[in-house]
Parts: sequence; structure tokens; C-alpha cells
Amino acid sequence: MTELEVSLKRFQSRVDALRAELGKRIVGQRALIDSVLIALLSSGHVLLEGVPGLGKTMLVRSLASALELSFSRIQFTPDLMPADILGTTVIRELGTGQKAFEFEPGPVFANLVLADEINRATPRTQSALLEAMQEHSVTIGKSTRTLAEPFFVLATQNPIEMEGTYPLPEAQLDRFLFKLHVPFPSHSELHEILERTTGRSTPEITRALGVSDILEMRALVREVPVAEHVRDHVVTMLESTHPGQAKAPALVRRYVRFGASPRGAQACLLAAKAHALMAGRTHVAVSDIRDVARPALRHRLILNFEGDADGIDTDKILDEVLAQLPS
Amino acid sequence: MRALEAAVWGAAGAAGVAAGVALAHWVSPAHVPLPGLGIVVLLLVVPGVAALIAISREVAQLPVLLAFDRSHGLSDLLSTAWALARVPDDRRGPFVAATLERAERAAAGVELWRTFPWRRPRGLVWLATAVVAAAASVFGATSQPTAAASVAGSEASPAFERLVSPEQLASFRARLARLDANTLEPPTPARAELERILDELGQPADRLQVLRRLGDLERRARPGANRAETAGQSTAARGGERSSAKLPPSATEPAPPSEHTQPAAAPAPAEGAAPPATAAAATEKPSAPQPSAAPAPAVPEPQTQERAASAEPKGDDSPDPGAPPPPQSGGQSTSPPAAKEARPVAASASRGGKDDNGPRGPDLERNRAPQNPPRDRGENLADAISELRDLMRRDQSVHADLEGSDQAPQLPRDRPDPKRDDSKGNRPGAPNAAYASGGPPQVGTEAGDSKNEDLPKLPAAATRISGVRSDGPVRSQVIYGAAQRGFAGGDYARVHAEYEDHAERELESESVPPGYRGYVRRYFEAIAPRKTP
Repeated sequence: MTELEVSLKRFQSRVDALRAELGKRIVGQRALIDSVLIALLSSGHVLLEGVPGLGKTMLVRSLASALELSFSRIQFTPDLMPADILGTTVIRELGTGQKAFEFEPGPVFANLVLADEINRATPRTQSALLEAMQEHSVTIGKSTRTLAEPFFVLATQNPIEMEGTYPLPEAQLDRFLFKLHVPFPSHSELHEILERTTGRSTPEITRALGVSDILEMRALVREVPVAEHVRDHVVTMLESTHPGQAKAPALVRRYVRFGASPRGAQACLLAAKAHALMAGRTHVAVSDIRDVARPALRHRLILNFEGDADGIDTDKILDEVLAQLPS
Repeated sequence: MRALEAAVWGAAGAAGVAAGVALAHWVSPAHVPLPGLGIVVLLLVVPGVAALIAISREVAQLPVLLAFDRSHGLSDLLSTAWALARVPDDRRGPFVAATLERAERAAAGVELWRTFPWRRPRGLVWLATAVVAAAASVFGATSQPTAAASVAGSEASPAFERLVSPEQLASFRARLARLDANTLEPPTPARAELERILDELGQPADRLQVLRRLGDLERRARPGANRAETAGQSTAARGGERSSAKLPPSATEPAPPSEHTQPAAAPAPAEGAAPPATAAAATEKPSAPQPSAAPAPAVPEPQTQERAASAEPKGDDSPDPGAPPPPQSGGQSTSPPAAKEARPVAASASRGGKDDNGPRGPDLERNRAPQNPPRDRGENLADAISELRDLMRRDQSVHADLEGSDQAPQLPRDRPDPKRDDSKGNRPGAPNAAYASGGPPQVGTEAGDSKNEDLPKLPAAATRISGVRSDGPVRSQVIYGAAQRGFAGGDYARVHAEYEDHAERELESESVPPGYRGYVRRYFEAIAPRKTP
């Protein structure tokens, strides 16, 4: 057995262990959990969208419990200030009686950050996360502070309570690797949820992965080779989301104002690598690209007025884009 | 395998083409020759060429590898390995090596037939269609007789038929021979062509083609004749008929209104034995206006009269300038004894009488009358050709009857109509002459009267008509009669002229595309009334 094969087996066993730990609290939602793990292994961030009560926060808290990572939760409110996230400089009295400025890190200085109801904060506060999510660093005043790796942001937002919310700007949305819809649990899953949460004891989650494990897995993901025709599939798919392209389908031409950015193609390819490794393959297939295309691109399509007025779902547009591409 | 598949598809396509050619030949053998050997070559060469093209064509590797991946569920392993194999060895990481190794193992289990299974040509339906097409082409190539064989063979194809009965053809030839004998001019090429057509008419022939050739021949034989001239003749003929129809009873029916019996058309006269029609008419016509032939009633009343099947005699056929003018309509008033005496004469008169649909023997023979100026040979030939075309246009049922009959060829309207009810004034065996004027039958007031029982048994060609005094058939009746019995008759000619004039005016005034005006004119030419001499 080669070293690579050992690494692959270890990778898969870690993933399975993490799934098992998350499964202790999260009932069902296998696709959602896998997508979160893919984003984690792809060094990306996740925007979870769903109505209240579906377990978004529970999922993040469970993940933080399963990972040996520092965790912080930020409840976004309209009066939340950037300093409340990034940290601030305070005057601290030293033992000698002197006073000195000292930086007090904000909650963003953690490995796993839960930005709960991120759309309730003002755009100014939301933008405080831009540098942190993209550069993994925070600039306060004249000093730039690097965030500890792995840095993983999971934000949640409620799609139905639009009053008093501030939709995320496109630049902020583009920072998220995935935008995941949290589906409503099925009938049997609801039974299981009630069984687990209303009993005497609550399942305890043990730590499955440490920081080094995650970093090792992330490095392994980036080594997965991609053939040229698979990469061409990503490029073609990305071009098809732009209404000005000749290969764009009719739905894109009608409802899309701006297509996905190149960051979307990067997200697709990187997530496809993690997806391939989780499937036990050493190469990326076209099917990996197609599986991660919707969560990676759905928040990167900017609809025009007609699309917003008609309530067009970007997943429908992506379905048409994928349908016209050779599988 | 690609070659085999291409060969099958090529064979199917070739069979389809061959079947199409065979079908076109079967529909119209005269226009579409059957390349029997060509079909065989087509069926053999096309599959071979298709197979060669399939073999020689270079196939891209990536699509084939993708097909292997899809068919074997390899998740793009072979195609990725094919792409990664071009990476230099020093740049290959452990993932590339592992991928190539996995691809090598997977390639060992690849089955060619799983990726490229045998595809039958669009299912069994299409395969069966190709087989049927091939069988049809072979059948057409082997069993379908050619046009010449069809004409010469006893079993004619649906496109060929015997157009003129042998009796009609013999009679026509005889009259044509007499016409030639009375003409001093040398034979023309058109005459020789007509003779060839007559030879062909002895066998089953293509009706449309023969009619077309006759039409061309008639135009060639009638130099200077044009449409306006024809229209002028038709107008003159119509004018004559209309004027005769408008004559007062005293002029048109000088004889007292009573039943008149006139024996009409006898069997076809023997060649050279029949007296000239004009002479017969001349013999008959003077007796018509004699009031002493039968007592005239004091008050004219609806009357029945019998006359020849060919209706009224032609005005321009008056043989004797000194003879009193014959009546232009109605019949000659003769007593039954006089009718018996005049029977042979009337028979000749019926042949020479004006009948748009009947044989025009007198047309051909009128030059024999010494008092008529000699006509141009081409004109006579054109008249003969016109008569021949009329013969060919007859109703097929009547035509079939004529072929099995011993009687001399008669016009359909001169034939007895056994289906007609006797109560309508038509006896069994009596000709149905009520349509002679182009209209529906007119029921006479004394039709079927018992007085008719003692009438002499007329020959089959004799006509008994019942006349009523009226304004004539209405236009719809005229058109109906023309459609049923042929485009002839004075009433129809008048209606046709009105319609044609109206159409011409519309063509000139309305925005009818020039390309479609020809269709309208061709239509009216097709339904034009038969030309009266």
C-alpha cells in the first residue's frame, strides 16, 4: 500500500468519523453535512440559509464540538459594530501604574466562527468580515493581524424575515464558497429529532478531528489532479452563466444581469477536488463538478429586475446551464 | 464494427432510393425509366463505400475514452488518465501516478461491446422498412414491364388502356381513307403522324400521351388557327343555335304539331356504300315543311316528336341551293308512313346531323359533295384529329359496351339507356337523346303513350325524344348535363362563353399573379365546348 493510499484511507476515515459525530445531534441532512465538510476541507466558508428552527445553529455548534477548534459565535444585530467583531484597542493599566493601549481581539479571532443571522447587521458591519474571510487577516488601525488556521466562517440567514435586514452585498456573498439551503426534515427525521431532543439525556459529541488533521486534509485536497477536459467543463459552465455569452441558455439571457465570477470557478474546482477525495477517487470527474455547481454558484448569479420580479430561483437557471452541457 | 454498421445503413439508404425509383417507375413507366442494373449496382456499391468511409475515418481518442468511462461507470478515470499521461514524469505527483495506475487496472476490464453495442437501425420497424424497401426495389426491377412491353403485352398496366374500340377505329380509318381519296393534295407529315397514332391506338396506350400528341398534331395541321379564330367559330355556332332557338313556332315548326316519327341513325354504313350525308339530308329536308304531310291542329300544343339521334341537321350542310331552307330546330314533320320511307335517308341524315358528341363522319365526307368548295387538306385533317380526340374522351363504360357490341360505333348519347325508366318516355333500347342539347331529360307530355306501341321498331341508334316548349334548361341543368355527358351542346357553349368572358375580364382586372393566369385559361380550354364544324 502506497503512502498516498494510506493518506486516502485516513482521509476517508476522518470524514466518516466526523459524519458520525455530527450525526449524533443532526438528524438526517446528509447532503448538508457533506457540503459543510467539503467547504471545510476546501478552505471555504459557508452561508446557511433556512427558516428558523431547522438546526442551522445546531449544526455549527455540533461541528465546533466535533472539531478541536476554537469557536466563537456572533449574533448579528443592527447595532452591531465592526469593532464588536474584529476587536478593539483598549487602555489597560499595567502593574507599574502605567497605562498602555492593548488590542482586545474580537470574536472573529477563532478557528470556527458562527455569524448568526448575518443579514441583520448593517452592511458596514458585514463588510468587516470581508478581509477576514478572504485574506484570513484583520487590519485594525495600522496593524494587520493574521487569523489562526483553519479559519472557517459559517453564517446563517433567514430568507423570510426581510424587514429590518440588510441583504448581503455581492462582494460579501462572493466570499462564501457555498450557499447551502437547509431543507425541512422528513417525517421520519422529525420523529427522530423529537426522540433525541426531548428525552432525559442529550447525545454528547466527542472531538473527532484536530487542527493538524484538518490542515493535512486540506493539503491533500489541493493535490488532486484535474484533467484538461474537466477543467474545460468548469470554464464552459462558468461562461454559460453570463448572459452576454453565445453559449448562455435562454433563461440566463433573460433573467441574469451578471454571471458568476472567476472565484466561482475556483470554488467549483476546489470543492470538486474535496468531493472526489471523499468519494475515494484520486482525480476529479465531471460528475464532481456538477455535484458542487449549484451550492458554489447559486449565490454568485445576480439577477436582473425581471428575474427578481418573477421570483426566479437561481437553482433553476443553473439546472438549465448544466442541462445544456455534456455530462 | 463501425464499417459493418455503416454498411447496413448504406444498404438501407440505397434500398430506399431504389424503392423510390421503382415506385416512380410503377406510377409512370413512360416518364421514369427503370435502371434495373443501376439499382443492383446501387445496392452493392453504396454499402461498400459507406464501410470504407467508416474504416478510413480517424476517430478522436478523447470522445472514445469518455464513452468508455460512461459505459463502465469509471467517473472519467480513463479520460483523465489519458490527459494526465502527457504530464512529464518529473512533474507527476503521487496523485497522477495513482490515477494512471488505477486507469491501467480499469482499462483491463473494459469491454468494447459494452461501450459500442450493436445498434440496430432505429429499431425493428426501420429495419423492416429497409427490408421491405429492398424487396420492393427488387420486385420492381424484375417484374415491372417496361412501357413498350406494357403496350405490346396483353395485360396492360393501369396507366394503359384501349382508348378506342376496334370498330370505332375501323370506321374512322375508313372515313379517313375516303377523305384522302377525295383530296388531291399530297399527304403531309401530319397525316403520316396521324396514321402512326392510329396504329398505336390499336393497342392499349397511354391516354394522356396520345391526347397530347393529337392536340399537337391538330395544331400543326391547322395552320393559322388560333384561339380567337376558335372563339369566333364557337360564337358563330352559338349564335346560330340561339337564333334557331328563338325562331317563332311557325318557322321552327312549320309542320302541324303532332307526333312525328322519324327513323334515325342506322348501323354504320358500309364503306363506300352509304350515300353522301348531304345528299341524304337534301332528300329529307324538303319534306319537312310540307304541311300536307300531316294535318296541323288548330292550336299549337305541347307536342312530341321523334327525330334522329343526331338532333337537328346542320345549317351549313344544305346540299341543294334550290331546296327550301330546312328548319333549324325541332324535327321534320312526317307521318309514320313517311317516316318509314325516309328511314334510310334519316339514318344518313343522323350521321350528318349536328351532334356535338357524335362521330363526325359527314364532317369528313362533306367534301364529297360536289357543290361544296374543296377544303384545305390540313383543315380536314385537323377536323379528323378533333373527331378522334372526341372518340377517346368518351365515357369508359360506354366505351366498354362498344367493344363488346356488334353495332357500329355510336356516340354515348346515341346509345340506348337500358336503365332509364320507360315511364319517362324512354323505351328500353331507345336512345337517351334528351341530353343531346346538354340539359337534363325533358319529359314529354305524351311520353310513354300507348300510341308509341305501334311505332316501328327502330334500330338501336334511332332516337325518340320528347319535346316541350319552354325556355330551355336552366343554367345549372346545362352545366350538370355537360358534366355528365360531355362538354357539348349549344346551351353549354353559351354558358361556357359567358364564364370564359367573365374569367378573362377578371384576369385582366384583378391582381391575379401572371403565373396563375395560365392555369385559369388552361381550365377553360379543357372544358371548352366541342368544336362544331
